[in-house]
Amino acid sequence: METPLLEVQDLKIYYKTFGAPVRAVDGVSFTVRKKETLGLAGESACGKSTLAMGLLKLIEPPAYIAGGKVLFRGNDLFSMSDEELRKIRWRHVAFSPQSSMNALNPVMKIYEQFSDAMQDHRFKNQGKNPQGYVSTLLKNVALAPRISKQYACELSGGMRQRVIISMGMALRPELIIADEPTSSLDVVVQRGVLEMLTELKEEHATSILLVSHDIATLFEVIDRLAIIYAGKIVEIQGVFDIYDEPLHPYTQGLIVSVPTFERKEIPRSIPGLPPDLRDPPIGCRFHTRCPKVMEICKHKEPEFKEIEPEKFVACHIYL
Amino acid sequence: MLKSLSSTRDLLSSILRGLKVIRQERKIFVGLCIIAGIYLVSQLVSLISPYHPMTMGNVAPNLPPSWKHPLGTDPMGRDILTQLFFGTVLSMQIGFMAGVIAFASSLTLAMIGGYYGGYGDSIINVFTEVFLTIPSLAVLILVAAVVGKVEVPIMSVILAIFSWAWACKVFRSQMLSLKERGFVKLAKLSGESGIGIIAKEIIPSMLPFLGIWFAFIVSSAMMAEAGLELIGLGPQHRVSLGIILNWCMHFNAFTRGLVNWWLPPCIILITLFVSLFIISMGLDEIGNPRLKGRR
Amino acid sequence: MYTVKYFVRRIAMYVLTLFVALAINFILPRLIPGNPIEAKMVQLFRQGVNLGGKEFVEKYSQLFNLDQPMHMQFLLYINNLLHGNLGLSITYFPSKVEEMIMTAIPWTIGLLAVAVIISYSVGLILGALMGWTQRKEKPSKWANVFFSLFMFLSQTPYYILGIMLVYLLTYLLPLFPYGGGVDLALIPGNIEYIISILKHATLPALSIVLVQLGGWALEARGLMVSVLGEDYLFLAKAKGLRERNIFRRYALKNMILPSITDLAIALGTITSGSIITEIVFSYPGIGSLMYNAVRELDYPLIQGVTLVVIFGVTTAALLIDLLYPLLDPRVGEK
Repeated sequence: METPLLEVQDLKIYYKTFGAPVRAVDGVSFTVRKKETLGLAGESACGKSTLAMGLLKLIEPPAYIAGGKVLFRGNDLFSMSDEELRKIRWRHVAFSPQSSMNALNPVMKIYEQFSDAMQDHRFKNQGKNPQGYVSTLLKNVALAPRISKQYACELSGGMRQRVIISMGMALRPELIIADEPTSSLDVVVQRGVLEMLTELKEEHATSILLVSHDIATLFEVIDRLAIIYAGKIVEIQGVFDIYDEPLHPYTQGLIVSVPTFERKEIPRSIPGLPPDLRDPPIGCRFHTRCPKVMEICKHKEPEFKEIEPEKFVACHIYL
Repeated sequence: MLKSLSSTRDLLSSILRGLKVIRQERKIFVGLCIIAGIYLVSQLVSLISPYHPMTMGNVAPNLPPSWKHPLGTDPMGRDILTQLFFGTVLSMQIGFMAGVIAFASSLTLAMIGGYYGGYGDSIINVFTEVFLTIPSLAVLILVAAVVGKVEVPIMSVILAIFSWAWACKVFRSQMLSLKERGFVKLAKLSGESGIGIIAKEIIPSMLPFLGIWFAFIVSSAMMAEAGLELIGLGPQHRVSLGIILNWCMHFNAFTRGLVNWWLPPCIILITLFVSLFIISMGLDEIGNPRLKGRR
Repeated sequence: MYTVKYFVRRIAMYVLTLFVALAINFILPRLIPGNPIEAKMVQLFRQGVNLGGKEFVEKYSQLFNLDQPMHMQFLLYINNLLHGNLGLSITYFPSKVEEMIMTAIPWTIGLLAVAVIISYSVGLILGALMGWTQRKEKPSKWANVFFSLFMFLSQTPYYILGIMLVYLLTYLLPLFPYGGGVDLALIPGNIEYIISILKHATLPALSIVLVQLGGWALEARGLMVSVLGEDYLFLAKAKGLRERNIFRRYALKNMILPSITDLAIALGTITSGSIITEIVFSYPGIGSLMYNAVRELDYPLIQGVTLVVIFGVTTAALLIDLLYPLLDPRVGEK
């Protein structure tokens, strides 16, 4: 078995408050392999963005890392010095943030925002013609090369998002962590971005960790899907398996809630609300909303286990 | 915290809550105490002092500090301590009055102009920009020179005229952005009149902001006042901190080392300005908790 | 980007402001009842100088155009201005006002320019660094010390600091001279002369610089703290850029822009403050000129100085406003 590209072991990220900390990410473990696209899905405020940012230690106070390890190619990112971590960021693992409206520097030209990353990481692969390289990158996301001479304020939201994604690809990282890359875009641009991500996966063999609440979109590009609920991962399976046979009741509820052409049933949503992460319920965190809840679910937290090869779930039904 | 008001009881409870906040916020509380303290002490001393601050020759001149004259006497035969406290009272009165006039007028103009828009707003805006660019002191000097013998209220008005422009601009831009917010549009839809909205919805949501600017206006009015009096313009017939410094300048107190004469007014002025600044910093922290620093 | 509309609008404001200033400058002295020549004559008479009677008043009224109707006076006034003629001083008759101003201006501009440049640039960098330390978990003790220091300094009026400096460095420790711009006994041009100028200018400049530096530092710190929360700073960190580059290109560059606008607005206040400072130090600039004019009620001189000050500040502000869009690509479209 190859060393996975990214291995997350029991990661905990909490937010400091006046009282009990908010346990946004509470013991999460998963891996991302080479040339693989892993989707991370969950409802709003379930901790997925915090998780995505925490992997590269990009979280800011009051959030803090309360435990766990993140291994990139076998190296523990959290025990590295700031300088070592800096070198890994963007060059090997790129993070594409959720909102792009203000993510570009307003007073630097677009080209400069590509070149500064290349400079600071001593990137040589762009060859003798860095301008041409950047132009190619922009064309890959369906943007005109002349954009490189413009400023962020001259671009629309969709264009800015595409610029940021293409900036993430510029240094040919092995892993891209994309946090809701399509949420603020219209459907047409969304399609473009998804196609681009697919191309990344197939042509450049980049691994992608795609975080989103929009399962329907995720299904188009991912190889495996991880479902996160209330700060914990509840299921990880290959994309086809999870669609045909979702294991966890929450996943089952999610799949059913997505409207499709094939299924005849009316989409149903899951009743209830996610729990308060300062004071999560005892036992399984989903038990208050679970249609298949059993007595044991109210007292004992289910272990996250690989019940069959490539099928991970945390549910008492299978333990 | 500061939402809209819909009745007198709401108003009262908001005021009580506001007072509680003031007591909790150390900076505001300390600043207010200092200012109030200075004013009360000065007022008290000016009432009980046996000496007259302005009549020349009522005591022996140039005496060093002693029990009878804690700060000594000036070259014109007056007790310095009495001068100081009379002067503090007057300076604070003028500064505060000027601040209130400037604040009230700039707020009114900004609110009306910003809310109703249209021609009136354009005129107010241009008006404000012009006043903002013209260096106030130059014109203040001209005005004060022309007006000649200045009475206290006139002095306040003159000072107010040149402190209001910046605040007006800031208030107006704040109004413009608040106008588009949800709670204002909601109030409009429920039939609230324009003035009602301004008074009950918009102003209460801006209170810390307004407080900061009030402190700033009073501070700059007092600085301008002291500056004008220092160069000999202003109510010459009464004693104020700036006038004291003017006399100091005439008698070369700085180069003669008469520290007992020129230093106390400076200290009081600096204390007042710093206290006002501390108050505005405290208000800023209420409106912008991020500035409190990471805990 | 930079549009003609912005340009035109700004220049229109400029002209309007100047016009209002001119009107104020013109109208105010004429609001005093009575004839200023007459008043001056009476004042001088009390001091024992007899300049002659009614003929004197008539002759000089003519000279100052006081016998014409108001609107004529205004037009003549504007006409004179366009020719650079600011009239004749009453006190220092027959000196021309514009000549007196021309002698005083270099001192003021020298003092102001040096003071503003030093305090703005040093203050901004210090404030930026102070704000930058907020990025780390542990608060920097030095930053807090400087913060309190600057807080006190920035709230002191220039003239009060000036008074204290005079006491400390002229009386207690006679390191610096007091009064004047240069030792008049020296020959202009050689090194001693220049050193004397510098020595005389140090204290007034220091009063202005210390106070302003504190103000700019505090402002810069606030601006930096707000920039720290922006999304583009986050992305810069995610891009794994070096801290130094993030500071320079992402934080500093964005933070400076609002402060430039504030500089334009503050020019008026800074000039006002420096005028009073000059008076305290008897520095031979516009400030002292104004002071003497006010004491003697020399209206042409007062008017002339006020006008020059307003013109200077407004023009400087205009230049800054016109150059600003070149720095900030977001502005210039309205």
